[in-house]
Amino acid sequence: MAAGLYNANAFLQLRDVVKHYGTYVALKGVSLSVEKGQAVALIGPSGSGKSTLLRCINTLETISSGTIKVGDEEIGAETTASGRRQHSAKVLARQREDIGMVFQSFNLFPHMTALENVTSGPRLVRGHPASAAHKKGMELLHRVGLGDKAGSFPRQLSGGQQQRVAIARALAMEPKIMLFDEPTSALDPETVQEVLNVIREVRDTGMTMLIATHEMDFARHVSDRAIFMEAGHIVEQGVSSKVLFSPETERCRRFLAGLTGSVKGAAFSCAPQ
Amino acid sequence: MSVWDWSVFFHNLVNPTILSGLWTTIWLTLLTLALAIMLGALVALVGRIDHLLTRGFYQGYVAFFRATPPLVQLVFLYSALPQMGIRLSVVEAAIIGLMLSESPYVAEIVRSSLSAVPVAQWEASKAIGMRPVTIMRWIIFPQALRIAVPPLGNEFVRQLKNTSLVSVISMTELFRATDNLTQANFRVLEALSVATIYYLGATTIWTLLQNAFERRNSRWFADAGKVETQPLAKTAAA
Repeated sequence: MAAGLYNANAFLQLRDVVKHYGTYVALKGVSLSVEKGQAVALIGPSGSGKSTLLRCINTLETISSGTIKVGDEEIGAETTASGRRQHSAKVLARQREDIGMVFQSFNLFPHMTALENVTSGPRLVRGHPASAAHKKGMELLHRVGLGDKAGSFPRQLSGGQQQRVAIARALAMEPKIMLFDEPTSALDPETVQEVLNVIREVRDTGMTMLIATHEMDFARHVSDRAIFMEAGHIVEQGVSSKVLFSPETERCRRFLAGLTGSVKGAAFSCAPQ
Repeated sequence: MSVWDWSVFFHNLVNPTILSGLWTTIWLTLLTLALAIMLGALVALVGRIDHLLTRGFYQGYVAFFRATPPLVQLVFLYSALPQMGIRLSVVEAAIIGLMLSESPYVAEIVRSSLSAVPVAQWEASKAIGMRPVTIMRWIIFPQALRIAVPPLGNEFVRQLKNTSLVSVISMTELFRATDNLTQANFRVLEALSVATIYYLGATTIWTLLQNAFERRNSRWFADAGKVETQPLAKTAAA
């Protein structure tokens, strides 16, 4: 079913990715591809493997088998005739520079100001001089609407503000692809929108992105394609208008119906502001 | 002989032998604690390497040096090693002994402080492309330091008191200097009162320094019990 959507020339390619934790199998052979400039929504119930999938792409988790490629480069390991060989820490670090990641729990550095968080990558990874990193960091903070919070420490910011700083921090490395791991799930309802707006703006710059989310309205408006996962499998994938509005599989239909029921009355607008 | 003689007390307070003993106590504390921190941190870092041998070494090191009394370690170094042909001077034995006896405590503090920094901080740093050494130096270490300072302050106080043990191997620090004086005039009460005051003074000054450091080091961290979620500017205006 999903085979038709696998594209060997795509920007991000996963082929038969399996991830075990001991005897538990979190990903049971996942294949997918994302074209350059595409935004793909990753949906599915908790524990379906969405987060694991994103963490594997960023090599925070080592996959058990399969291949992940960004551009022409194999991520995390190289497959040779004699088998898979894990990349060194140095190579992994360089590969992660191109893959931005935004976490559910923000994970800002608490001992650094918002600006220091944003400039941490350019300064500590790329070795850019303070003045240049500072200038670019301020631009990014303005872009996420937090130009006036440059000197604030994370604990002085709301959840939504912290997440926007985290997005700016990831963008500062000028990644080729951005991974969002349920970026609004830890937020108060009133701050969800400000974060979604920022993600939408990033998407409008043509950034390739993969977003795990439970915000279906947002997914419908922002993503080109959607992937529905359950129990470590991809159950359905295709263009968003199809998967998120009139899915083929009964399982995906039930999942979407369940969500709509639970958020009734809490509908939010996705109209551009 | 009267119970308390103020003039003896004041003489002792500025007695050159006692003051030089105080100075010995202070430099011995600072030097051996600094060495113990370096050694302890090294041992803790080795212990973090996930390998049977390194973990075994760590466990064994901490168990051995924590299980034997510092006094026994000092006498061992000074009096027992010569039998094996290793002769240490009083000062060498004192420095090495105080460093070794303190190092397992520091190692435990360093180990627990490093592991108290959430794993998510490692992940966020890795996701940006930082290498392990960079992550340790700029992300983990500053956060671990905040956690480690209060217990390390305790160790300073403990180490200051432990320096009195080197009097047994005849090093003239504050306690031995005071004790020597009482051999001459038998005014033990006045002499030990002076020693007590100096020990108390040194720990008090240290505590004040430590408090100042903790305040500075914790600007970014909410104090327990008064967690702030509002920007500071608003709090100040209220």
